[in-house]
Amino acid sequence: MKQVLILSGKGGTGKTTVAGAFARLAAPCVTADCDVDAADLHIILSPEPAERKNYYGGKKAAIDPEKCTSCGRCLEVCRFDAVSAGPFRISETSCEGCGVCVWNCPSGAIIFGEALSGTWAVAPCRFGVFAGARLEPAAENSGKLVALLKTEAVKAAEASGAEFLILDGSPGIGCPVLASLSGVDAVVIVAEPTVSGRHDFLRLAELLKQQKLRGFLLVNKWDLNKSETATLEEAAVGLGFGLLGRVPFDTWVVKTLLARKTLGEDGPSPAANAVEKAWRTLRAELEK
Amino acid sequence: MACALAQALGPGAALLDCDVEEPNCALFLKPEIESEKDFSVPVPQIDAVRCKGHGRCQAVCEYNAIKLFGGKPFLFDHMCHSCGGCALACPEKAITEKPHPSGKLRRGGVSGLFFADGIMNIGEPSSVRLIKAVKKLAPASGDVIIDCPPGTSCPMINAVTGSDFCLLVSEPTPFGLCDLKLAVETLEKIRIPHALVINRYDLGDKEMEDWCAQKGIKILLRIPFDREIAAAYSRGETMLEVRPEYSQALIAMFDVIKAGLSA
Repeated sequence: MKQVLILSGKGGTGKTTVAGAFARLAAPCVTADCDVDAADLHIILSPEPAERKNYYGGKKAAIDPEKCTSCGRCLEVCRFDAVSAGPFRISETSCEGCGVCVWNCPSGAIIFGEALSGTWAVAPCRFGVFAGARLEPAAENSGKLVALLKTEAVKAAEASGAEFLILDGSPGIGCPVLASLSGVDAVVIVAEPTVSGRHDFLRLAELLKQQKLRGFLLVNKWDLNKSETATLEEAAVGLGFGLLGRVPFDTWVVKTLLARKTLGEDGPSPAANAVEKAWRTLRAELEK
Repeated sequence: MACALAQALGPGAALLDCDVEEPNCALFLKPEIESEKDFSVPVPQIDAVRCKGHGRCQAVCEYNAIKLFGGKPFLFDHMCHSCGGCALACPEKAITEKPHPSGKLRRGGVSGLFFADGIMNIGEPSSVRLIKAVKKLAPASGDVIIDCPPGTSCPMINAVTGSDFCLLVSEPTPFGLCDLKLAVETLEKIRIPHALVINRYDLGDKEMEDWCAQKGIKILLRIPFDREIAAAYSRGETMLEVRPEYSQALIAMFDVIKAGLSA
């Protein structure tokens, strides 16, 4: 089984659209949406309803006002600006669950419990199996939820004998992205031919180099700036990336999305054809 | 939007790029950088001579960043959240903290506009401290525009906390609406007033407008798809460089926001 992760640095570059199209082209396969704090892939994959399991991502501290003597020790030791005075309380969204206030409180007035941080489910979809999660708004530890989701997706792939695990990653380069990188065979970076897109691509490429991962570039809306496309591809080749081609700007992509379908599912279009070609190229590279 | 709005507001305003994982504002505004310094977070340093292997550090660490092997503690830097708990807990005072470089902080300006950003080092897991540090660079007076990181978890929360108002920018597609709902739910939870700008409003459908009407979320601006704006963006230019007429619309929008907040 091969794991293919799609990343982009920024949101809105076409990452989820590409992941959805790859899921269809790789079917039957397992697909996982690792962008747990803005999960969108389920919209076009429409998994069957399944029982959602709870995810407890960490602990949260809260002050028991009955026991609190307002000594202020919690405020003193908290490094996350989560404690406010008068009366003393801990902000649920700022608390990072380090527990330092809990064992430093001389009155034992701080309650420390597991917080429900999200839910996840693995369910059949029309291209195989879909693993998705939802992080509660303002919840912590998205990286841990990504790791859990990946473990479940790998299990599902092994159980079904799927040849591919397609992973839709999250934007940025922080903890959820780091968690999504483990064990992948190839990372596809979807980038737009813009000055900022190139900047984002180079930062992600540096991360892949650190992690010794194999990278591929797919340029989306390449015709919006042809010379920037050439610059981007040149940089990618110089960094040892494989090129998966160029996807043109195509308003049909929005129509497909509005119909809640994956690219190419409602017939050929310039963008759909380019993404299909990208998948064939990637597949051939992974089989080498 | 953040860059164009800051540009429209002009001298006296400030732009803080808090999307420190992928900071891009400097590419568009091309500010003159006046100072650049390393930003570090504290991580524990264990004195092997003083350590008696009690294991209190391992016991108090909620992030599994310290593990004892054969009675000796080992630190896993990338798991550390810099809470300082282990140093407080060690009965032998064998743990001190040392700075671990996690990024860069820059400040400067362009055409009277104050500019600051953070650039997170590649491979670092958490951007939260750097985001907070960028926000501390804000000038004491004047309007401050913060470019927020994506998502609804720690980076986004830390960027928006303390703001008077949050301007959401989305596209009227099923993906855009799904993400918008999550962002609104998060802002409702942390009680920050908000409104929406719909970008490329003519490429999607009406569902987002209907949902906003139902939720009572104001749509302050609708921007159509414009190949000229897309091309300018690709060259690292803001929309105002090819469509200066939006400057008035952005200033008017900002006035509406401010009037709403003082009402």
